[in-house]
Amino acid sequence: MAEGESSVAEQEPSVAEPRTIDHYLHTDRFPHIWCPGCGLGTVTAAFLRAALELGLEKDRTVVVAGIGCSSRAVGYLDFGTVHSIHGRALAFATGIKMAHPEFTVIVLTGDGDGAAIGGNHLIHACRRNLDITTILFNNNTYGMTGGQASPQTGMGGYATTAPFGFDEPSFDLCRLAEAAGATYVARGTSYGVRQLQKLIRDGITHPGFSFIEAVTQCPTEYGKRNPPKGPVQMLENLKEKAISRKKAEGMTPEELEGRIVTGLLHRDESVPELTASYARMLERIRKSADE
Amino acid sequence: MELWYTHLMRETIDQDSLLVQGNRACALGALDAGVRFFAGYPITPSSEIMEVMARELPAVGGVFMQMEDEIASICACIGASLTGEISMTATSGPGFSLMQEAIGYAIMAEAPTVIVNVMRMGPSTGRPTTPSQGDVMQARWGTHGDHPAIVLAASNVADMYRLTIAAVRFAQRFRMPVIVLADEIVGHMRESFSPEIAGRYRLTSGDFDFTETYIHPEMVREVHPPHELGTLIHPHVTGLIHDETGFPTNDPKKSEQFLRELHDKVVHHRGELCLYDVKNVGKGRVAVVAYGSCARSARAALKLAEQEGIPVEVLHLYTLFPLPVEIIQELARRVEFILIPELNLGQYAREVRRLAENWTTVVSMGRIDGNLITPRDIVDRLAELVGKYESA
Amino acid sequence: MKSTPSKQRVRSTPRFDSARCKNCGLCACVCPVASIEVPASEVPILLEPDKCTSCRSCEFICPDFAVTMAKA
Repeated sequence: MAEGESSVAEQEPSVAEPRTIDHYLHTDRFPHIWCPGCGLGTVTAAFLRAALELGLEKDRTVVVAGIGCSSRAVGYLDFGTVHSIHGRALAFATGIKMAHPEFTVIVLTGDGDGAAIGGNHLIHACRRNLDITTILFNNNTYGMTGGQASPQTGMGGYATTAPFGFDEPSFDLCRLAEAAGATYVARGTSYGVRQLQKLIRDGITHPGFSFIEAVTQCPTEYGKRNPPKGPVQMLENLKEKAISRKKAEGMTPEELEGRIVTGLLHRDESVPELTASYARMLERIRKSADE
Repeated sequence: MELWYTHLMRETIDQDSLLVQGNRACALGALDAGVRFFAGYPITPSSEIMEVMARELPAVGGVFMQMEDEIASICACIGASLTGEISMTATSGPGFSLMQEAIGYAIMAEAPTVIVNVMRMGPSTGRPTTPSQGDVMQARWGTHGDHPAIVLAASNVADMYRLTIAAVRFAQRFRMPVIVLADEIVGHMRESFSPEIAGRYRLTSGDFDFTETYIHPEMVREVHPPHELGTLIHPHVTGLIHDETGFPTNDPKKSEQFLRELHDKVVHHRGELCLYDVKNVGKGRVAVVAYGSCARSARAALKLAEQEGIPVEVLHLYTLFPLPVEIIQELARRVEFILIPELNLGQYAREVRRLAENWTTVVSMGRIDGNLITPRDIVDRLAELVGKYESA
Repeated sequence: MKSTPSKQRVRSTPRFDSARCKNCGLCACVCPVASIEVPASEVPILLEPDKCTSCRSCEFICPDFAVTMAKA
């Protein structure tokens, strides 16, 4: 065949060819905006591998994000994507899921977006037990605005708005989500990517509100002010701090100080999922109208 | 006309008297216009709208959500709208303030939705069960950035019904949020009402048939390709300045073009959007421009003033924004002065003044004690002004 | 028709996409056989392809979507 020519058969991708996560990416928009060594890409990739495992369809999946570094992920994802407003991703997602229960709805948010400005929406989304999977990228800071303190900066942490050390305690976001009524709660790190992928996959298949906290590193803004410095050192730090739920069970609070408890932390399938119970209510009304 | 309303609806309307509250008429209009998603948060004096929706939407297979606050309410409405649902929310001043950021998002993302603001006296908690028109400028300029706005104002119960239908139609056709303003008195008063009664009104601005339901009307050409989630194009929707692909751009030329197009779609169709009614055209030496409850008083004042020898023209505006520029300027050319009664300190009078001051004098008549402006008040003020101008 | 499979399985090894790589070094840090080197401002190099166990750790950790596994 002469140069420049190609047959139709050649243009069509082979069915047998295994898909990579590029299938779900707008690769033409690369390189992405995240800094070198930032863990947000790692967590996004873990989500996309979970999506591949489940074979999520692009036109039946809606990914909603708020504002911030983590929320910029949706700009690269080839699903129906909504880059909404700061803190409100879950409110947008609630409207989308209630209007179209058949969609798989994923929310990508950060610790500032999800736990500070969006904290109210987070607890109410947990309470409603709507079938939405929320992945909260926790990098302990506001990266996009330049390293200000977030609710997850932690006591003694440094930030541009905590130049003498932050003196407020953090949330335990997973315990918050569980107490608020989330029926699937898990935590992973950007070091334990295989575990994170599995947790996200199971969260998506769980019929109810799933909350997955992904602890990750921000070497540029958080790492610059808080030891250890550098992406590699921060990642190794995550590795050292992470401890499985099983191992943590026998440990005292003192021993668990500063550790990141990972794994599936809570799962309850006895609570009715909201779109399902709403559909049952509509059915009840229809029947009473017919009578 | 056979009402399709469900068995539940009959309980909402007192069948014997057909006395319907303004807020309920608004909800009926929304249902007739095809609204099938409502998210709201309780607030006086608008709560009855969401109460009717809570009862009626499930009966027609729609979704009703009581959200955790007004921010969540409008965001849920925008979310539903992005999937193609016709959505609406209702609130009052304080809640309307909370919604402002998301209204800007809906403008930027071209997501149609309707926001009904039943206005109370403000600022802050103010007097929640007292009529006011204090949110006119908030409706126009509440969200940040340069943006277009479509704002309608209801003056009676029938208006609550038909302007809600018009708002849904405009929202769909222009793919942007549309705001319906009602004074507390308009939301809470009860009047003889049925959709047929509402259909009998005819406006000077055109034969807009409010009895027809307008589900998914044709979009104006300036709208960018709609971004409906759950379709084969699986689009990206963002509040960032974006280009025709839907993805963000920092290109100065494209940014300006995009923002201008958002404005153009409203400006180019001002004739369609500006709903108004003129009484006594060309017969008055003076004119009253009014909207909401004050327009009712103005219409009543017309007869009273004639009896007292003051020929007056009344321009009743149903659309506050986009500004009916040509209508106001034509009026300004024919009259000696324009009086604008409002339940605020002259928010709309300022708009009319800048349009009309080359040709006539614009006098603001504001009232902020929580009482209505009566027809007598208007006539007395007109007589005073006529005397002043004659002696001058 | 039965093909004759080679005894030696052809293993996948990482390929580094120079257009996407931001040179952060995380791939080298997680490599269990310490076989990846990341020269300053350059794309990572697989030092000893034979040592690679195709564990995909470098692929999974890469925050830049820059690592793909491919057969030699």
